[in-house]
Amino acid sequence: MKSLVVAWVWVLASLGLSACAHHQAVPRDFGRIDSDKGISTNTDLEWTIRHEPSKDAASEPGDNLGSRANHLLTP
Amino acid sequence: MFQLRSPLLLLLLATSLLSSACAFSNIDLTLPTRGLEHPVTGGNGRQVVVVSPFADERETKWRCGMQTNGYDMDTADAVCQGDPNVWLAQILANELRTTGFTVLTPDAPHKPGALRVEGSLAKLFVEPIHGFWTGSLEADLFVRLRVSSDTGLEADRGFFVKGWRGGQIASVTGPYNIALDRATQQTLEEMVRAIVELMDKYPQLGDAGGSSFDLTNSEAAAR
Repeated sequence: MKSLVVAWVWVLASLGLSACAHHQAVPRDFGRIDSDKGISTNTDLEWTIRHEPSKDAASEPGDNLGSRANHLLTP
Repeated sequence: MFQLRSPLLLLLLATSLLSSACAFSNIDLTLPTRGLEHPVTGGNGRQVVVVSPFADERETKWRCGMQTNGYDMDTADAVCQGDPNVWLAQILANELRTTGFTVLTPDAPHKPGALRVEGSLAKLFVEPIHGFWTGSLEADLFVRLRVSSDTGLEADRGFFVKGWRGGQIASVTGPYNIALDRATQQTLEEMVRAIVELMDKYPQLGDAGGSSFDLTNSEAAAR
């Protein structure tokens, strides 16, 4: 009887309590870890530039209405 | 053999039901809307067009996390309260405005150098991670931003953050939301800093002016 109770308590601990009780643990092997903030990050270190903007864009006058095609077709 | 009338066994049975049941009920995951505690600066009125909603590239779209038992068996779902793709675009637009950018909708008039930001959500998932006697809750947030301008810029960048929460009861809502909030705060800060950095690199981007991003309408559309 005593061993049955011990086994039952073990099952309880495994299925229930261990699923609920948690202590601090940090993700391992994942990027840059900041334990104080509770985060780790694996963000790209920089932008991947596929195409650079034209350098004289700031001097172009006026608004457009959201269409790149309109802008590109302007003579 | 079993003597079910035994108070000890009845107590154990009741404890068993109570302690394990917590892992079998779904959890409501609140998508955090608060801005950064320490806002980034440097928008300087430059124009940014935020496209909402972000594209949904998650493998699992019908839930935002799960509950597991001590054997890592999937026992219940964590369900997002709202559309995470709309939410991400909104919190980014809000934070960019706080940073000092002029945030516009795609159909608003804008300068050729305005930075257009399109995003995609590749992962949003919160789950318990079990050790033998220890563990934590981890929230994975993976966002890709693609930016462009009418003047020819094309660039992209991935933002992948884990937020975690330990030392608490995993099967109640609070720690799930805390883990997600931490991941969200970090992702948001990294996205905003990246946009500031990119626009500083190309000063010809983002001439100021135009009408503001209408968050109220976006929120209404999200509901």
